Amino acid sequence: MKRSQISKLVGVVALTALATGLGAGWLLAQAAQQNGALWWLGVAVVLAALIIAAATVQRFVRAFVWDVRRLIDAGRLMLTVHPEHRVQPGGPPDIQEMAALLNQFAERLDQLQKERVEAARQARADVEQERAMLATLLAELTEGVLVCNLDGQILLYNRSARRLLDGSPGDAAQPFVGLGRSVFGVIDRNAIVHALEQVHSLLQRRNPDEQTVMTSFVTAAANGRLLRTRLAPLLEADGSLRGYILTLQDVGEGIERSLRRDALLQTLTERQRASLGAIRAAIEAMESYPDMTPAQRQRFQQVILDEAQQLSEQIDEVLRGHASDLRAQWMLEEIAAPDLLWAVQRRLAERLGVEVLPGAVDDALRLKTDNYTLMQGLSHLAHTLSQDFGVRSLTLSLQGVESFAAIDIEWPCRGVAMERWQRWKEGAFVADDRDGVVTLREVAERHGGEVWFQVRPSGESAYFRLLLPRAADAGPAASAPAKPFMAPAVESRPEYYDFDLFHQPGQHPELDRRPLRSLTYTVLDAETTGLTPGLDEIVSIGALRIVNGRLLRQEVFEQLVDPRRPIPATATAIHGITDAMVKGQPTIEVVLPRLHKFVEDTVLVGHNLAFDLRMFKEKEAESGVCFVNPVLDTLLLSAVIHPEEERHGLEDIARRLGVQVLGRHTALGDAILAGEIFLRMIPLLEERGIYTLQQARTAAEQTYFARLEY
Amino acid sequence: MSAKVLIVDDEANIVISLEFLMQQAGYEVAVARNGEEALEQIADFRPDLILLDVMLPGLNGFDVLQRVRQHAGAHELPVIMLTAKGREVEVTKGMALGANAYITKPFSTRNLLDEVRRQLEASRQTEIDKKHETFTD
Repeated sequence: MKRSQISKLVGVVALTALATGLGAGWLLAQAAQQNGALWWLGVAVVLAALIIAAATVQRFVRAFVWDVRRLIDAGRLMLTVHPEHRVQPGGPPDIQEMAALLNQFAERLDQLQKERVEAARQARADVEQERAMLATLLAELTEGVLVCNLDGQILLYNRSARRLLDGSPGDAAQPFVGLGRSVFGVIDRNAIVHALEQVHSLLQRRNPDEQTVMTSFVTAAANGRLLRTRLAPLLEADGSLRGYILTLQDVGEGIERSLRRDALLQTLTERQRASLGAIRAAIEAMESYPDMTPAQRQRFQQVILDEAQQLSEQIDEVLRGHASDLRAQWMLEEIAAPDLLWAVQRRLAERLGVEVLPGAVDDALRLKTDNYTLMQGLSHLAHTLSQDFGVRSLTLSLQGVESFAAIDIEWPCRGVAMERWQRWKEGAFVADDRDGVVTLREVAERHGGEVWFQVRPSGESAYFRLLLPRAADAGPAASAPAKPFMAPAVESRPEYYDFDLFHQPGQHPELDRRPLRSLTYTVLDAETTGLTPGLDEIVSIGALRIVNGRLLRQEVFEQLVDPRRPIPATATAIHGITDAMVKGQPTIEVVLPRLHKFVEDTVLVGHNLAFDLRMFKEKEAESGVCFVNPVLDTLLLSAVIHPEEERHGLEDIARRLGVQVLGRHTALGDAILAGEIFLRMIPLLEERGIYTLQQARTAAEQTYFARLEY
Repeated sequence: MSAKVLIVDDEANIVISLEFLMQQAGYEVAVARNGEEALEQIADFRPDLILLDVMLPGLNGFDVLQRVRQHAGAHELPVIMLTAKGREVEVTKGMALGANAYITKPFSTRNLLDEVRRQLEASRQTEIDKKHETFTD
């Protein structure tokens, strides 16, 4: 029965009761004119009729309006914010039955939802674990790795890629690697396009059995480094191209070295030729004309002396200054002494059954070796020792000696005559070339090192000492990354990736029509000396990116700025930045172009960003950069979402949205807070029908004007 | 009249020997220490042959050779390049620019003298041929 019908029915019953009561009352009133007692009876009958009518109405309202209403409200609660809520039993039997049914539904729904959440959590945990494994794997690679979608957006990069591709920190127009950034900013677009064309044609001609298609090219990165780049396609299940993987290797270093060596040999040859030319001409002149005057002879002798001296100096100079360029560098890799010891122990035990005992091993020592050759040389030695003398146990020592690493291979040798050692030693050094054996002498030669054999004076043991180059003590200086201008805020996670970006359409001018969830943002905040643009100066800027709904704490911009004026104590009290801290920091016209590069192609987000942008605008002429990115202000968005609230301070909003407030009043801390707030605002905006950038900007603009009216 | 040889080299030690050897062989000798000086000497001294070093300060040997070959009065002047640059590509360049011979340091002085003599004779022969041609015309 519908509610209107119920109310009609209730009305009819109540009216009937009322009419009956009134009718009876009127009849009694007529009768009462004759009999006073009947008047009282009439009043009683009317009252009874009224009470019956009221009770009827109340009972119907309870059963069909209040109890149903109660069911509806409870159902809505259970469906939305409070799934654990249950309907309290009560009311007429039908209503009670309905309540029990509703509770059962709620129970079932609750259970299903919990199962679903658990399944999702499990799936996410699995994915996270795989991600972590992939991340660790990539971080360990010395090759740079970039994964890009077809728009050239970077979806993944590892630390090496960043080291190879990032520009020098001092350069304002520095290129740098970042998620969602274009790869063409760091590697020549034409080179990649050409490689993609090649891959495309390879894919078409591909033999189905062939698994991999790959192409490589050498190109100069935007920072000038020469890179050997390999491009491998990422294919969809249907075989269409989805994106590509780039692996990068720095070849510049090797080429540079060989160029230096080439140039060195060239000048060396030229200078020696010139000197020898002069000497030879002088000698031949003296020979051809033996009867020349003593004065003439004296002149020629002086020429010979001069030139011979120059020759010697040249040779000394070359050996002193360019020894490292002349030494063969190929295939030499760094290895730590304990690792080498472990590798030797394992190999000799497995292959030859020879035990290797650790002698004096300098744990901090790092060698630069061709490990394969070294291992072969040591195996050969162990093999001959065990065959010729039955030696089953060697002691291996690894220690630094001046600029070399000394490898001592020692074994007990009591009772073997010296002459026999001498004969054997020659054999151990000079193996037959034909059987492909590598001797220790070859190992030494290949490394630019030395090797010798000695019997200890006590006659107890004999050893070979192999001197090999050691890795530079300061570590691989060339490959050590310079302190990055954009220091990672969190060092622990080395990898930065977001495969969901595959579905991102790329950075196009029609940003306005794109959903808020798909945009790339830069959240930023600046700390200043005060609140008056034009008078006050910026002392610090913090910014970080939001890509695919994630705040990337690894890709941050954090920079103190020298304001070239004293910082008032009132300002220091807020942000804690003192005059001493900004001393020696870059000035705003240096920092803003870097920031401009960092925010390129993103939407700016911040709290009361108008102020920060105004400060930037004041410096437009000096810095030469103008920030024209679209802007979303969390202050205005908060007013859109909660128009009834009066306070829209950063901390007020954070409290409302359940964001934990940490590290406030540093530029980066505030930027992070604004970023987290913004991410929580997106679903709330969507509830209000605001999905795209355009809609968000329009709504913010309207609130802005609405607020202005106050 | 003895033939005139111009030595162009900035290295004093080799010039001493070259000058001595050329004089002993009966040539009249002049020395230039750089490219510019060489061009002046060609005009003033009017050599019959040039010993030209490649590595010179300022105008280098190749530059001097090119100027000589473009110069109307001296374009057939025999030029022997002397150089410490031994790379094949440079020899090819020198010959392509019109050097008559290319001798790499260190060289045998006997070979050098032979080469000088041969070039002077060849040059003289060309002139005789020319005169002869003119005569028969």
